Amino acid sequence: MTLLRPVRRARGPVVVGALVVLAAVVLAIAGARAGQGLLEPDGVDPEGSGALVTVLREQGVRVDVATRPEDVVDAGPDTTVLVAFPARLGTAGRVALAHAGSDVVLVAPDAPTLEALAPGVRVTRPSPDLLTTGVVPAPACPLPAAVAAGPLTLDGAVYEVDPPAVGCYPVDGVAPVAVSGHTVVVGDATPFTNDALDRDGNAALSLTLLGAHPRVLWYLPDPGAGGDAPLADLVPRGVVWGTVMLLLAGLAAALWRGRRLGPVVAERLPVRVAAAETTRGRAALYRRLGARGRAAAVLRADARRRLAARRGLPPDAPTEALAPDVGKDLLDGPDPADDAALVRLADDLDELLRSTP
Amino acid sequence: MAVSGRFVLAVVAGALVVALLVPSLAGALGIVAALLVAVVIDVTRAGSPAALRLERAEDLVQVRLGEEVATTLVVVNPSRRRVTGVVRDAWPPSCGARPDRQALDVPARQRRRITTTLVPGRRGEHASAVVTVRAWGPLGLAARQGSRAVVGRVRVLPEFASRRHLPSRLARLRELDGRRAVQVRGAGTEFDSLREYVDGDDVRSIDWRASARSSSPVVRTWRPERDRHVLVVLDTGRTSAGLVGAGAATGEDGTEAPRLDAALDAALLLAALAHRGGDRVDLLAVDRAVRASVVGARDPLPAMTAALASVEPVLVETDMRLLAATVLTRASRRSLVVLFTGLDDAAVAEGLEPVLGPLLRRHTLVVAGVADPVVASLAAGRGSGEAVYGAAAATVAAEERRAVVGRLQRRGVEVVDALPDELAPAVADRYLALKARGRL
Repeated sequence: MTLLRPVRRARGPVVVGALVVLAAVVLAIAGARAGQGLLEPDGVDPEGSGALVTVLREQGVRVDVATRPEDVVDAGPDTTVLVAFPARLGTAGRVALAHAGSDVVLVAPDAPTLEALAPGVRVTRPSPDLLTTGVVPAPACPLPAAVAAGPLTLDGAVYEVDPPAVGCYPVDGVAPVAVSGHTVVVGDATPFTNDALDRDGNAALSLTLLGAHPRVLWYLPDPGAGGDAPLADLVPRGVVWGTVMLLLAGLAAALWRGRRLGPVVAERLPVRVAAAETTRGRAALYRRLGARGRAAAVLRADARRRLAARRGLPPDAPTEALAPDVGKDLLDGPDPADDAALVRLADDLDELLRSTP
Repeated sequence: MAVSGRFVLAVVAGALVVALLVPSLAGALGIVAALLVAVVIDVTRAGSPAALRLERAEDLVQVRLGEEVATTLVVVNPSRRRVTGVVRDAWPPSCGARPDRQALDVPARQRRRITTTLVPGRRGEHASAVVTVRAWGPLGLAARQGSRAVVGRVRVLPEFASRRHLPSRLARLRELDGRRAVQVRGAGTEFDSLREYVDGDDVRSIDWRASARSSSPVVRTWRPERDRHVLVVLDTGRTSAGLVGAGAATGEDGTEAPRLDAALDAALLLAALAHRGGDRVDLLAVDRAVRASVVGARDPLPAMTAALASVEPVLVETDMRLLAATVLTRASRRSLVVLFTGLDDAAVAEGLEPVLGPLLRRHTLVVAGVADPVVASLAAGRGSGEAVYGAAAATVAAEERRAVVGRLQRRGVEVVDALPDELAPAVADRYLALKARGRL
């Protein structure tokens, strides 16, 4: 019992720790599962692009996945690079793409990426009545993919286009698709997703865009892989040295508080044992064994002794002489059947003693 | 060597300087070096604790348990440098020394007295631990520190709480002394004087021979015997170690005490009373060896108080043969032997009863046992199974105790079995009763 006590006390923390480990394992497994999220090349959920990639592979196009600028920089002209989230590119990614010499498809890029890779294309605000016109615009540009796709409605970002760049599907002077040199800008990821691939001309648009070269590089920029500089170099030196000094201050504080004014004084203390320990132990044994008969006999004998003393009789006087009014059951009766009966017996004996002068 | 909170603040300030003004390794090293130099200067300029001379004004102080006593430490500074700082006169925790630490400022070639108040919580003789001095430097950044043993002792005497019963028992003693005619006749009472008969005197005490020479009846008066020998024997074995008192029931500290403390209290009251009653009182404390002994003291109370100060219960079975043999050598003539021991069935059957014979042949023996109030409260337990089983167990214990008391009484031993608070007056009353009956 004593040995188990520390274990029992540690149960809470152990359970919490186990839950944390379990949660970590579950999250790791869930995180490792492939194909979750927008434009994942092997994604099977509505937002993924698994269908598009499979079709491309069936058509003999090699599809590789890239996450780092180094994977892209020597892609070459035989490759189409699809940049899934251009906003995550960072400078290194943009430079790598510019040096790659490949055709680039940017899905909903941000302004810096446009500036670097698609000169003449600017993000703009869609005209307010665009959604209400109900007109399905025609391609109206020489981009083969757009021509193959035919009239199409695209939601998402729209662009203002300055020549020599060309805008496709223009409505009120802004276009959801723009071509600038080797770069095609698509303002909306929907045509590439599993869910929408079979709608309208989406399949034609995406397959023609990506199937132009024997290899597609599906570029999912990893924002963490953007710079080579370690974190320590980015922290201001004042913070570094200030922290070092504060650690020293912590050490000094430990010395300050830790130094005792003289040693601890030990003292031999006397043994402390409660005198009633054995009596309590015996009570616990009676209780554990359910020694109702023994307990009842003891209480009855004590009551007899007191009654005899009050009536001036010897302790072994017969019950009739000790308590004539009360039946023999109280002083001589059988052992009580359960603890409740024992408690009642004790109370009855008390009552008998009270009523006897 | 010790550093201060001021030093920590200085390091923090240094950290700010480094962070804002000189954020470089060189800057950090420079600040650290400056701080270290300041510490070294401070330590070298601080007064030296080792040069101080520490003395105690008194080697031994005595105090009754529960009261407080001041002990003085004299700090002499023979050096040429002032010592400013903190001093701690450390005592064992149960001595209740306060204040724990005190400011110290001893100019060169001067002395200061440091007074520590002790409120001991435990009987016995306790020795002081070390005295520690921490002397700060002029900048208050760092200090020198040194500890030294300066032996001092405090003797904590028994509380003697039963003192309050003494006046009433002394009154009874005087009453006994001045009794017109002792009702009992026989051995042990001593003839005192003759005086005229007054109404109410026992006619049996009329001295007819003296009355014949006088015009009115004359009675003899008796006084209780004096110059008897009372030997108080304390059993300090394992049965005396059990904690009794209200606190033992609930488990809270402070209110319970070993059986020995109650016995000790009763022994002191008996000694005070017997001494005033004109009897000689000796003391013996025995377990496997003689722990304390007072023989032939002119004033037994202070001697016994001092002798009993450091007597503690020992967890061994008392050697009753040794006890009986010691009693028999100490008390050569007929004496009243008051033995404070446990009334446990097994201990009495195997220890005391075999040696009763020689003791009873020579002496009047009183055996005093301390009853446990917890057992009494357990025996009254009702209302639940647990309480009633407790009551049964306590009744068994009480029955065993009654059997032991009965056995001892049948052999002619006077037995006092009382709760801790009631033991001292009960023993005193038994002494007075025996004295009145002339059985000393």
